[in-house]
Amino acid sequence: MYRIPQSGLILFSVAALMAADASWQTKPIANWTVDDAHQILSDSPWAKATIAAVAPMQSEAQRREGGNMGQPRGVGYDGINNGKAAMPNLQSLYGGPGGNVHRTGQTKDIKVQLVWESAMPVRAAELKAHDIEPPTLSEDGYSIAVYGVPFAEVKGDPKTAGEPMKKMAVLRREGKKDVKPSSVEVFQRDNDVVVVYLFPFSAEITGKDSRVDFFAQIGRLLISQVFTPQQMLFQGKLAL
Amino acid sequence: MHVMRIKNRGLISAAVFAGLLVGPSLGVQNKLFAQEASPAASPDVTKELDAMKKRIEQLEAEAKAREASTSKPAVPTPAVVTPVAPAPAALTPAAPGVLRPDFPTLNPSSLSRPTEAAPVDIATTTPLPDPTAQAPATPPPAAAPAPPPVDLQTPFAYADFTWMNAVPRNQDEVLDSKYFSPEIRTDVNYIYDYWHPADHTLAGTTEGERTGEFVIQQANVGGDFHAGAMQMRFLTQIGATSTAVPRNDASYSVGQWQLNDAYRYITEAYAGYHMDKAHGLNFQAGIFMSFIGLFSFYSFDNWGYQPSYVSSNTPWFFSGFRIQYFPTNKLKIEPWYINGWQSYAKYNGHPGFGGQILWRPTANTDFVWNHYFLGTDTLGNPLRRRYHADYSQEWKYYDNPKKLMHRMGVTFTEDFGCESGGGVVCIHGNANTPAQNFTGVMAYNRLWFDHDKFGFTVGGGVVDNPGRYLVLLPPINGATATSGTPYFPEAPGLPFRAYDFQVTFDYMPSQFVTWRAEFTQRGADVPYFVGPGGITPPNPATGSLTNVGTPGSIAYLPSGAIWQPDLRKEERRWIFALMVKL
Repeated sequence: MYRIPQSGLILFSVAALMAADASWQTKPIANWTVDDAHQILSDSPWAKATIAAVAPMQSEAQRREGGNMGQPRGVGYDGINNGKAAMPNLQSLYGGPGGNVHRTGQTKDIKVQLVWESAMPVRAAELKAHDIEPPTLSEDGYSIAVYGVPFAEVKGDPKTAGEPMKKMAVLRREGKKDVKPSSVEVFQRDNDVVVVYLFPFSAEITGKDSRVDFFAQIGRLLISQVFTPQQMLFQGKLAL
Repeated sequence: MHVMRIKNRGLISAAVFAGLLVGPSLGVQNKLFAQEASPAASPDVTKELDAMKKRIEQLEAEAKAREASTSKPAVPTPAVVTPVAPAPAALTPAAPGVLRPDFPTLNPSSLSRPTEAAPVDIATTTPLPDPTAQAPATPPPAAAPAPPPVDLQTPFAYADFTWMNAVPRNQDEVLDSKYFSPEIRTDVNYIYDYWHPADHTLAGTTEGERTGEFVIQQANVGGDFHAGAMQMRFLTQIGATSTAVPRNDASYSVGQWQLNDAYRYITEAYAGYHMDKAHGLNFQAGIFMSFIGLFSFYSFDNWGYQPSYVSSNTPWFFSGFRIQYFPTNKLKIEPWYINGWQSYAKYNGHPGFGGQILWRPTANTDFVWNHYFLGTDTLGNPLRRRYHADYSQEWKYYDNPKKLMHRMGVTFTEDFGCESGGGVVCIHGNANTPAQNFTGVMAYNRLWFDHDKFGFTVGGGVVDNPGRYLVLLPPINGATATSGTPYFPEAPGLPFRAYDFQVTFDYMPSQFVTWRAEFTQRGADVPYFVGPGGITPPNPATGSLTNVGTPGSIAYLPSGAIWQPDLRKEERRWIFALMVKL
């Protein structure tokens, strides 16, 4: 006779209960707590934190060769190097490598939070958490927000500020054409900047897409994240 | 029975244990919810909660409506899913009274978003496991590959090209600021010529003017001014080049105002306007570097000190207007509208046109195509037009930072030009209308050692220039491009073939300093290089070697005989240089 170990039953039960603890799967929205909402907004299939890669700074000669002069400033440039410019590096006046060593300045880890803003559970969670209104102004697409971009003054209206970033982001799915955002908006907050990408519905994200890769460059910040549509289920439906 | 008892005991124990684990959490949740629903809450809170509940009901209704609208089962659907319409409140971009009313802002309450507390999902880690029972059978996909830390928008920023010839290797800036990026260069040399010219004079190059002496070749002070879309670059050339470069340009002789004097201390000076079109669009006017012949005008940037004729005899600079267009981050298209071939002014009535295409398809390769055409660059001959093509390739074919000798690169440059009209033809000339053209090639190979502390370069080139129109005139008795000299005539039909090679050793204790020792040997099919007797006549009165008469004119010895410069077909010399670029 096959006997189920007692300890196995205990572990199974605990695991099942813990697994079922994902609020968006087990509770109606009305029963969500603020903690539930925060979990959806911070660590869920719709919200992921990641560390942005930081592109090296260019020397002035390199900038000039590329048709630019001076170090760029603004969103994605300010605040990257612990609030300091990456120069002067006076130590390198006497020694260090002879050259050809990419500099990044005194960069710190730039943690950003990516949130699929257009997804209903995210909207509901933001409402429940008394969080800000979703920083998207359009209903015409999938909206992905990048929170935590180091503070910089945003000049102009959100769309104007985001216009240069349109060509520097993409949604990538296997076997399908890459999709660029139809609009990008940049919002300045007290301590950081939020960049919101709106991708058109022509992206046609479906449950058959095993993954959706989001890539974006914001100044010197390079961000990539995978979203898994098969996990982005809300009440049994794909919620994007 | 026994088994059943155990089963029951197990289930009961599991339930109790789970209850212990979950109970407090549920209790907290209930407490929180009870607090939210408490009638004792303030009227504002109650009002807000009511609004929130309504909104939640609205969202749930929308969800149900969506569910009802589709006949698909409750599994991932292939149909396109549209996002839920945002709440009306979401259309308010900024709340009043935020810190910076001039800029678009979000409500400061958003700081409650737990960005910092969230676990970081580094791009190289596996995504979070699906906690639901509805998890797909297929395993979750791997995370996106971490993006390479490179800027894919800024031209040529996707890789480090400081290994290249003619590109400064600096990575850091000193004293950079928001509106001004200063640049300071100093290049001091000591040239040991095996001929030991009596007048300490070197000829046939602009990368060295005197021998057996310490010479300030160049002292450059200036930098880039930048404010918004405005650009300006200014750099002086104080030192031997401020004489050597202007004397090769005869264009100032046309008309007044002595532009050779006005511009002699300027190596670069231009104003520009930048536009964010494609990957960049610039409009610039002034004096700028040409980079025809690959090498930079500044020896610090180069793999060697004495470039071959293809570089040394072609323009270092242009005066005029240029557009820089970057259609991609790997390509530059730069048309020119300029006064002429390394000229401050126009020799005749026609300007020169040309352009550069610079393509860097990979981190290890570089291609440059330069063209110049239609310039009338012969003093007093408005019918003679110049055409020129100059191509360069650079290739880093080895790179292994772990090795002592960690990098190797090579460059090739091919150059062909000609003049046509006004008594000459490009090719297939005859005695009456000689061919006037320039053909040259050069190649350099460089090795780097010990984290770029040491460099070793070998290279050289050959040139064939019948008519000598691009041969640098030896400054015999003070001759200039304007004066010419009967001692070394430059005229159609006169041949000039030459070769050279260099072996260069660099010690680079930091990215800002280069100590250089270079051996160079040059040869020509006609006497061209300065021999022991020098190219400066003795002054009849004092006997000292100083210019006599008008520049380039025939000089006489006290005996009445015609003085002759000491020109040789070959020269060998060592160049020692200390170069700093900040």
